[in-house]
Formats: sequence, C-alpha cells, structure tokens
Amino acid sequence: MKKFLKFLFFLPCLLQAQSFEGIIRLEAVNHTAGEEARIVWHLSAEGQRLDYDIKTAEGQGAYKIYFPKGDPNAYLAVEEKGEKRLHTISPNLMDPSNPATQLFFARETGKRAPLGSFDAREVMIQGTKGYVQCWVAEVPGLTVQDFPQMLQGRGAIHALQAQNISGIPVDLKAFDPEGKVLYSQKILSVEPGKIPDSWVTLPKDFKKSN
Amino acid sequence: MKINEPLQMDACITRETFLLLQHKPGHLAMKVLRQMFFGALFSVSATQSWEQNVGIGTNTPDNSALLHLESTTMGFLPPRMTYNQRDAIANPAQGLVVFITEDSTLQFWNGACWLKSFQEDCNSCYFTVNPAAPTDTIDRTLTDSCSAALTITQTNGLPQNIIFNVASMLPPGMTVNVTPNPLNSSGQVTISVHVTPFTPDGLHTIIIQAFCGQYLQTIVYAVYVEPCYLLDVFNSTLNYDVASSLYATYPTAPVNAPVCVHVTVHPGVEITSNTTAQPAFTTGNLPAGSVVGLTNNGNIIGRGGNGGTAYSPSSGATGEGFAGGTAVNLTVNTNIQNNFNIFGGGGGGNAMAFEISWTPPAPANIVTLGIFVGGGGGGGAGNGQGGQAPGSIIGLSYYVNGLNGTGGQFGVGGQGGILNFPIPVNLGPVTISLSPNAVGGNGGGYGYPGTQGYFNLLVSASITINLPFIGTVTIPVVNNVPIPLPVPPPPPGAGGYAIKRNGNTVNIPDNFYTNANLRGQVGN
Repeated sequence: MKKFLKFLFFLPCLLQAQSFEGIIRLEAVNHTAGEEARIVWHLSAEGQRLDYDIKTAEGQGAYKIYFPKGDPNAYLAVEEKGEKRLHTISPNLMDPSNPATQLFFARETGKRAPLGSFDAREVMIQGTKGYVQCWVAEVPGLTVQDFPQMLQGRGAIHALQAQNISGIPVDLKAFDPEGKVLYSQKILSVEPGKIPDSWVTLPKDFKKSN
Repeated sequence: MKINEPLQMDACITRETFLLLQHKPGHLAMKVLRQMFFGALFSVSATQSWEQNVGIGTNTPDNSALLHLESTTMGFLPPRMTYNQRDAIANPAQGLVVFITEDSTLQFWNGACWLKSFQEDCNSCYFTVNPAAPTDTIDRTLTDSCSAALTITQTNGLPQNIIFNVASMLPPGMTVNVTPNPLNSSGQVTISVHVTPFTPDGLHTIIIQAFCGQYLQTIVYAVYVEPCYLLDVFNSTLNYDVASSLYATYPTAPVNAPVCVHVTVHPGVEITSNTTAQPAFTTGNLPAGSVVGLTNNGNIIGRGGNGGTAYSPSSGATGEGFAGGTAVNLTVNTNIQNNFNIFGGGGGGNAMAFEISWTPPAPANIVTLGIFVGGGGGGGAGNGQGGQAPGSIIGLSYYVNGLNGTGGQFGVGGQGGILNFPIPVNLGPVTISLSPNAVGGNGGGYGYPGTQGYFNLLVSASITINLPFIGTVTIPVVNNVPIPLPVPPPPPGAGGYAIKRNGNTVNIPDNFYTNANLRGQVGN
C-alpha cells in the first residue's frame, strides 16, 4: 500500500517527464492579412520547432520557429541566398491589439461535435477586443503543458487553464466584436513519435540578427 | 641786276626811269638800262659815301633800310629754285632768302636750317595730308564699315609723332578709328568708320584733327549711310519674329536681297514665349546677309524649363529637368543695344522621384514592394512648370509635385517637391515602413540651370507571424535600410540662352551673364 501510494505520488511527475513527442499538423488562416499557413509542429523533450509554409496574395514563403527548451524566447530562422539568420521573438513582441491575446474568460457551452478524429467540446472565450469560438478535445498524451513556455499563460491556452478546462484547442476561430473572423486555426493531425534532438535545437550556423 | 658784293655807293633809280624802262620796247630798253646802270655806277660812285643806302622806286629810301624797294605795280622777287638747288647753295649766309618753287614757300637760312616763313625754329613741324577730304558710302546690307587711306608727309622739322583726334560728335552706333595713331613722322594712316543699324541714315561729316607740335590740320571724311527699315514694338507679345513683322509692315521689302532692320522694343513691353521650343524673340527668316539692330527698352524673357517629372521607365520619363528657353535668337548678324532686360529662361530642377522595386529580406520576402516615391523638379524662372507625376503611374505612389516658376521681370524658379514624411505600407502579413527624404531640384533663376535635388529612402520591414493558440507576433526583419537609387540622379535642366547666336555675330561677347539686365548665356 505504501508502495502504491508512493507510485501515485510520483505518477504525475512521471507523466510530466514523459512529455509528448511527435508531430502536430495544423492549418491556420490570418484573415486580416490574407495569409494561409500550413504548420508542422515538432515536439521533443529538447525543444520544439514549427515549420511554416505560408501563402498570401503577394507570394509564398517558408520559415521555421524554434522554441529551445528552457528559453523564454522563440527564434525565427530564415535562410536566403546562403545567408542564415535568426530573429529573436521575445514575449514582449506579442501584439497587444490582437483579441486572441486579450482573452480572459472561458466557458463550455455544452456543445459537442466530431471534428476529424477528435471528439470536441465547444468553449466560448470572451475577451476585451473580441471573442473566440474554441473546440477542445482530449488528445492522448498531449496536454497544453506540452506547449512551449512562450505559449503558456497567453491567449486561448491561458483562458482554458484559468477555467480548468481540459483538452487541446483543435479548432479555433477568433472574431472581432462585430463578428468578423480575424484568425482561424485547425489541428489536422497529431502524430506521436520520436523526434531527433537535432531537429529542435537551434542551428549553430545561423546568425542572430536582432 | 645782280649784286654779289657789298654795295659801295648810294644809287637812286627814279620812278621815271622805271617807266622809261617799261615803255622801251625790246633791245632798246635793255640798252637804255645798261647805259643807266653803268652811268650811275661810275658817275655817282665818286659822290656817294659808304654809309648811304639804296632806294629803288623811291628817292628817299628809309634810313633803316640798306635797300629800299618801292612800287605799287611790281614786287620783290627773291631767287626761285627747287629744294635740291637750295640745298646746293654752299655755306648759305644767315638770313639768305630763297623761294622754293616746289611748294611755293619763302624760306630763309637761320644759320642752322632753312625755315619756311611761318616756322619758328628748326623743329617746327609741318606735314601734308593727301587726300585731305575723302568721301564714302555705306550700304549696311553690304558692309558695316568703310575706310580711307591717307598719306601723311612730314615736310619740316625733326621727325616726330603726328596725333589724330576725332573732333566731331558721332551719331549713335558709329565708331571711328585712326591707325596708326600716333603716326611717326610720315607714312600712311587709315581712317576706319564702323556703323550699325542704329546709325541714322544720311550724310555724316567726320572731322579729324591731326596735330604735330603747334601745327594742326583738319581732315574731313564725309560718309553717307544708306537707310534701314525701322520696326517698333509697342505692345507685349509672344514669339516676336522680325522677318514676319518686317514684311507685314513693309510689304515691298526685298525677300531675296539682304535688308537692314532696326527694331525698337519700347518701355513696358514684354516679349515672352509659351514654350521653350520657341525663343521669345527671333530675327526670323530674313534674307541671308541681312543685318538687324535691336534696341531693347522692355523685357525679353525666355520660357522657363519645366521641372523633371520622375524616373519612370513605364512612362518613358527620365526625371531630367528641362532646359530653359532662349530669349533672343539670331539668324543674321545683329547689334543689340540692351537698355532693359534680356533673360534666358531658368532651367527646370530635376525630379528625385523613382519607380522602385524592393523585396525585403526573408521571411518578409513573400512580398515585393513596387512603389513610386519622390518629388518633382521645380519649374525654371519664366513660368516653367513644376514636375508632376507621370499619368501612367499605377499602384503605390507617394509623390509631391514641384512648384511652378514665376514669370515677368522678377520671376523666380519654383521649388522642387519635398517628400519627407513616413509612409506605412501593408502587404499582407508584411508591413513596410518608408522614410523618404526626397527633394526635387529647384527651378533655376533666369539664365541659371535648375538645381540638383536629393533622395534618401530608408525602409523598415516587419512580418506578422501567427503562433498557434496565441495569435500574431510582429517581428522586425530590417530596420532603416537605405534603398539605392535604381539609376544615377537625372540632371537638372540647363539655363536658357539670353542670346543664341547660331553662328552669327553680335556685339555682346560670348559669356555667361548674371548682371541686372542680361542673364544667361550669350553664344552659339
């Protein structure tokens, strides 16, 4: 019994240590900027990396964002004509005017719906500059604590955490007060698997430009 | 009678004796005279003293005279000879008198030289002029000058300078020169008379004084000047054409033979042009060889050049400022008497506006900025138009027009357009901030070229990235990067000619003039 209690005591710690490794595939649309993005999110114990393929009316592009483990900043990595640069993304660069960053209250509406392979619940999050319709679903092995430090305590994640609403936002639409869609995002798939550490560590041959 | 020895007696030849001699014909008279002479010589000589004098034609010779000649019908005739014969007299006595037949002068030996009766001493100058009164005619369609060659011969005195001075008041537009002046002793001098279309027609008498010591001779040169056609401009006008005005005023004026025309622009008149392609004033299509005189008492002002618009390959514009227009254009030789203002148009300032294409670095390189930015050049003085954006520009355009130049006597060039405020450009997720400091060149003042503007453009770019569950993050990509000009800055326009000769002559030397009444280039 004592051993069982000891197991129960350390279970969360073990679960915490066994953070999610794998790939999350998303698509996101910035309706204001007319930008569509396909994002491949690599999660590893050593860090995380988001690969963006974007398409706008003006053209196409690609870049990567690194979230090194234990680093409050993220890093945008670009390569152009043989030049490799890193742009530091500090938390204070977050756009304070974006409604998604101003969310403060979330509530489950009780609606459920299958979204792809996910059994999702509707959560409405109210903010000072708009609102978010969020569908959350339980994803085995994946919690919001698996997300990078920069994403913790902000936006929809913060609102869900504040209300102890479990699950991962698998479909999300941000609106302005007039109901105009500003931003939408959808998780297409979650693919657990081992990610090489080299994929998520900051490349040494890139030079920081800011 | 020849007397070559001192007279040793008094002799008295009475009037009666002379009358007798006059009325004796031929050899009889000679015989009588010979008898009287020797009779008197030998019969009287014993009775005359050494101190007595001789009277001929008088019985009472003056006491102060050794020989007293008295007659109302005859004169004293000294020895007559040539200069050579005079000079052959060996050891002439002081006071020896001769008459030179070559120049009919009575001369005497003063002990050092032969002096003419009017000379004071051996250095007293005297000269002859040949011819002394030349005449000429000037047809200004054929020539603007005439000359007379005079032979000057110093006939007396040591060689010295003979100085010539134009003594008469010359009419407008006429000049007279004597060369060489002074002339050393003897030789040839040339009197040159130059006239212009301003010279009144008619006979002009030119009096030239020639000095040599105390001696003065007056030379009279009579020059007749043929008339010119006279044109007057009393009202302000555009693009004045002398030829057109001539044939409108004088329908019978020759169209195939040279003409002489004198144009007077009267006070208050302003002659300008609406385009730099045409001069404000031109002598026009006059017959070859014609001559024109322009007396300007008004304003003759070339059109100001327009300011440059932009460097815009899509519209064919280069951005260069345009040259100012010509004030006075010459097609024939011309004399100009400028009593007021002749101003070439100011050149237009260059545009400092460019079509620029710029792609920011990754990750913002998903966009390429195509923009038209800058300021137009100012128009030149003389109503040059300020540069304006070409009409074919599409898309993003941030352009400030150049200002127009002003006209009239006190016209000035217009200021180039100034663009110096930040411009944000949103291109999807990319935000580009332009910080231009672009100034088009100013239009030039009268006769001056436009000035060179300048252009600086700093660009910042940022990209907005969407982070999952969070929203947007705006990431600066570049900050204040200078954008190079796509081409070298276009040049400003040149100042307009004040007087464009086109190979013809004008009395105002070639130069760039910036004085109160003449501004701009005079030249070809």
